[in-house]
Amino acid sequence: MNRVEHQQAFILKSQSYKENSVIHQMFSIDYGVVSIISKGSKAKISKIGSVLHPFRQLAVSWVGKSDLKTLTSSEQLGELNTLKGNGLYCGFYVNELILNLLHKFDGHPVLFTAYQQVMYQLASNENLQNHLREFEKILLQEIGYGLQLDHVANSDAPIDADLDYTYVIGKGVVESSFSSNEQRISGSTLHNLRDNCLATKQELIQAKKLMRRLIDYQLDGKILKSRELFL
Amino acid sequence: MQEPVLQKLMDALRCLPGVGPKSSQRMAFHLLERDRQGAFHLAESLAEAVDKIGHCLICQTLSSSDECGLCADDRRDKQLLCVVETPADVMAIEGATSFKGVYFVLNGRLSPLDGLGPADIGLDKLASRVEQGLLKEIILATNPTVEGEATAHYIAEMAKKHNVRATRIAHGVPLGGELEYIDGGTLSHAFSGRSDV
Repeated sequence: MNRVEHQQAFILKSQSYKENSVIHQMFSIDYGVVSIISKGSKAKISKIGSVLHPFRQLAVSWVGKSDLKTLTSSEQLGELNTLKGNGLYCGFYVNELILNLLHKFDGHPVLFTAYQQVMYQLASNENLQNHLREFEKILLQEIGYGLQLDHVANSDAPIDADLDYTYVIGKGVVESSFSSNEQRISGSTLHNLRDNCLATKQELIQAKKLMRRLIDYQLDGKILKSRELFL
Repeated sequence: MQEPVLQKLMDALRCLPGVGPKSSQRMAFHLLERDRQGAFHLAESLAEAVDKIGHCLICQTLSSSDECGLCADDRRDKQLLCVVETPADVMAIEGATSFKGVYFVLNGRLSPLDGLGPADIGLDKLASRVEQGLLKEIILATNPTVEGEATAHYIAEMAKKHNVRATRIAHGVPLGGELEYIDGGTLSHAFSGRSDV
């Protein structure tokens, strides 16, 4: 992987390095998360510096044999996508998830498409929770821990919209005779989570709690700072 | 064999931004060969500044006393608060504008990906100031980066809760600039933030 040309990518995180350089963590379509240094991009005369911002779809080229690649060109693809307010917080959250849950140099084209889509959805600032849940589901699927929402665990019985269930990590949906109230989740929430159309407040809260529990399990004790932003 | 004291000085000078081995050597030789007086002066002022300058208890800018000159000045409008990221921003605004309110320096910005949450940049302190109810307007002068925007939005929400007006500084085409050479992001911002003439 000495030279890569015109790779679709998004910047997840940037960090200043020395006077005028920046090290970016990028999420690219074929190579997954990559560390790339852009030399001199903070200088006033730099042309590439102005497009190097998170949440924008870029086409980047890089060279390098080590883990840290060197950026050779970057241009913006498509229209400018600006995240604002809560949409921006959600954008940080999505980036934090990717940085914490994906391995470097592991291509995830399906997840990349989902990322692209969720960025445009977040820019609209509407229905944020549904969009996030959809993305989280695809993310878990891609790292090998997808949700099983079609039927009750260990049987072919369909999930009944009128019954209460609980989701057991590593097993799936089970009827909730013994579970605590905290983890109880209604059949209709599970249906709507599967179909990405959560509507009522209760459904949104239940789905959020479930996904949070599943993601926290994967994070293994790491804390997501972006969650603190939501007042 | 290099003189150890000289080597120590050159290594010490490298803590300055943009100073590598070559420049630190040049600086050290200049101070020792041509400007001993200046070297003494530099050493003294450096020691004094590091010893005496801390942060203002009210606005968190750099100050040699508990209350900085700007916060202590009675002629300034205490109901008008400008929030900035660094003490350097205070200097820039003071030098260029006729702003007559007071400041609050965050010494950072919300950057969850670097592990910086609201409490890490003193936003709880700002919150207690907003809660006191003495403010009329908060001017959000954080940088137009994604982190700066997130910080501005967070403070704006906080202000809204307490019915304080929050305004964001405008960003767009620089004075004397030419549209042709301006990047797309800035230009699109300038268009969405256009004002009546």
